[in-house]
Amino acid sequence: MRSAIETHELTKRFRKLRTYRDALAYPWRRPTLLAIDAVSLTIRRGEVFGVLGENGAGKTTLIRMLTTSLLPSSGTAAVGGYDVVREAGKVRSVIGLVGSDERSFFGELTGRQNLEFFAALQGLPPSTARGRIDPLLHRVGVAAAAERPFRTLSSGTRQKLAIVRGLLTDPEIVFLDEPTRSLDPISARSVRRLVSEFLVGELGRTVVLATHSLGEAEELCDRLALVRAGRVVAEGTVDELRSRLGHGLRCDLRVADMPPDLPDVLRRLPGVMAIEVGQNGGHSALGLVLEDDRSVLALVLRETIERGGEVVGCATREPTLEDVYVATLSEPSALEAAPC
Amino acid sequence: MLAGSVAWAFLVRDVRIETSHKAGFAFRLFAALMGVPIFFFVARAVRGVGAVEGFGGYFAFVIVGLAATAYMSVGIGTFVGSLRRSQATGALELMVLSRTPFSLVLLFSSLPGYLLALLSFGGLIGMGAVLGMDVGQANIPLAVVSLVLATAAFVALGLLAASVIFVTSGGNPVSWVIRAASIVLAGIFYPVSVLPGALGAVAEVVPLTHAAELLRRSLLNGDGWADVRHELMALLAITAVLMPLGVAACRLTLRVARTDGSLSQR
Repeated sequence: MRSAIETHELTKRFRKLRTYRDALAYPWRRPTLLAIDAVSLTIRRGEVFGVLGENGAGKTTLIRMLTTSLLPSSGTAAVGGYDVVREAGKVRSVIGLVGSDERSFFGELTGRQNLEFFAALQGLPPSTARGRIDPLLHRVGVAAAAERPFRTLSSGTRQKLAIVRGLLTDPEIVFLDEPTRSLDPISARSVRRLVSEFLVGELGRTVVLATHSLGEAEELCDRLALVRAGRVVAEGTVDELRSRLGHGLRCDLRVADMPPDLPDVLRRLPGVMAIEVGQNGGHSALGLVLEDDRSVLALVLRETIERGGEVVGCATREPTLEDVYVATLSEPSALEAAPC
Repeated sequence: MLAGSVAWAFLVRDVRIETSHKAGFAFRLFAALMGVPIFFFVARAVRGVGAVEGFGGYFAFVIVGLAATAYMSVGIGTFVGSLRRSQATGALELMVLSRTPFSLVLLFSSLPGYLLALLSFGGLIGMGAVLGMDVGQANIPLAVVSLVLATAAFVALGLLAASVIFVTSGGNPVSWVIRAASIVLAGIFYPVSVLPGALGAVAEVVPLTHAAELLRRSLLNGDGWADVRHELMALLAITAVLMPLGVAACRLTLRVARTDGSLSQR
C-alpha cells in the first residue's frame, strides 16, 4: 500500500537577516539558519501522525513544506504520491490545511460567507459548496454561529470553522498545525474530540498533527516524531518511544539543603538519562529519568546525601510520554538511536 | 465556469467588506469629491491659462485629470490593500494554496477595486458637471474604451506593486510611489508641456498621462478615434510591456516568498 507522505533528507535553510553593517562589510556572505535538518519520514495512509516538539523546533516549517507553501532547500517529499515541488498543484488537490492562526479569515464576513469564498477558490460550484458546507457546519456544531460576523466569534468556534474550511474539498490528507494552541481547555478538548471522532473515526483521513501538547499527541496520534532543532530525534508509537528509555524509571526526589552543584553532579552519573529541577513544598524537587537499574537509584541517593542534601521524599514510577519527551528533547543523547 | 465563480466570489467578498464599513467608505468618497470645489475656485483664479483652454478651461482640465488619478489610485490601492490584509491575517497563504491558479487569484483580487474606482470616477465627473464642466459633446464609446484600456494598464501597475507585498511586510509603499510619480509626471494639475525635456520624455511612458489625455479629449472635446490614435497606441504599447512585467514580477516574488517564508509574514 502506497504511503500517504514520504520525505527523504528534507532540509530547509532560511537566509538570516543581516545588519546593514554586516551587509556592507561582508556583502558576499549569506548566513543561513537551519530550520529542518535532513528529515526522512514515512507516514502511512489512514494514520494520525504527530509532529511533537518545542516552540521553534521546526514543526510548522515542516508542515509548510509538505503543504507546498514553502520550498525545500534540499531533499524530497511526496504527499499523496505527488512531489511537493514539481507537482505542487496536485499535492494541493489532495490536502486540507487547518492552521493555528484563527485570524486567517475575513473578519467582516460571516463564517458561512468566508467558507463560501474559500470554496469558490477551491473550484467548488456554489451548489456543491452549499452541499458541503451545511453538513460540515452541523457536524462540527457551529451552524448557528457561522451566520455571525467572523470577528465576533470565539476562538474555539473560529478553530472549528478552520477545520470545516480544511475539509471543504474532502481531502485525503489533513494537516493540523497546532489546532488547539490558543484555545482554553474546554474548547481544546472539543476540537480534539472532533479530530478523533469525526476526522479519524468517521472520515478515516490521514492526519498530520503538529503540536507541543503531550496530552494531545498521546490522545490522538498513532505514531509520533519528536523534533528538536529541526531534526527528528525519535519516531514511533507512544509505547515504542517509552520503550526507548529501556525499562526506564522515573524518580521524583525532594531534597532539603540541596547543594547548588548537585543537579550537574547527578546528570554526569552513569544511568541518569534526564534531570529536571524545580521546587516543591519549600524543598528542591528533582525529576530524574533513570535506567531501570536499582543500583542507579542507590547511586543517586548516596551522592545526594554525601554532598549534604537531605532526602525528604523519594517516589518512583513508570515513565510517561512527558518523561520521554523531556528525556529526548533536553538530553537528546538519551534517545538518539535509529527510528523504531 | 470556474473563473466566473471565482471572480464573483472576490466581488461579493470585497463588496461585503467595503459595505461593512459604511462610514469609512462615505468619508473616503467625500474626501475624493472635496477636490472638486477646491479646483473650481483655483480655476477662477488662474483663468486664461492658454495650454488648457482647449479643454474648456482649467477646471475641466483638472477635474478629468483628478478623476483619472482617482480611478488609478483607488483601483491599485484597493487591490494592494486587499492583498496586504489577506497576508496579515494569513488568508493569503490559503488563497495561494487553493486550486485556483495564482494568476487568477491576483486578477480577480484586483477587479472589485475597479468597481469602487468607477464610483469615484463617476462621482468626480458628475460633480464637475454640476459645477459647470461641459461634457455635452462627449464621445462616450471612446471614453469607455479609454477607461477599459486604462484599467488594463493600471492592473499591470497593481501587479508590480503587489509583487512587493509578497517579499516585504512593510505595507504598501510601491502603490504610493506609483501614485505620487504619476501625479507629478502625468499632467494632472498642469499640462505635460510645462515639464522640462527629460521629465516630458518620462511622462510619455506613464500610463496615467495617456489615460488622462484620452479621457479629456473624449469627454470634454468629443474627439473621434482617429484624433486620439497616438494616445490609444501609446497606452496599448505601455500595457503590452507592463502586463507581462507585472505577471513575471509576481511569479518571481511568489517564488522568493515560498523560499524565504514571507508569504505569511505578519
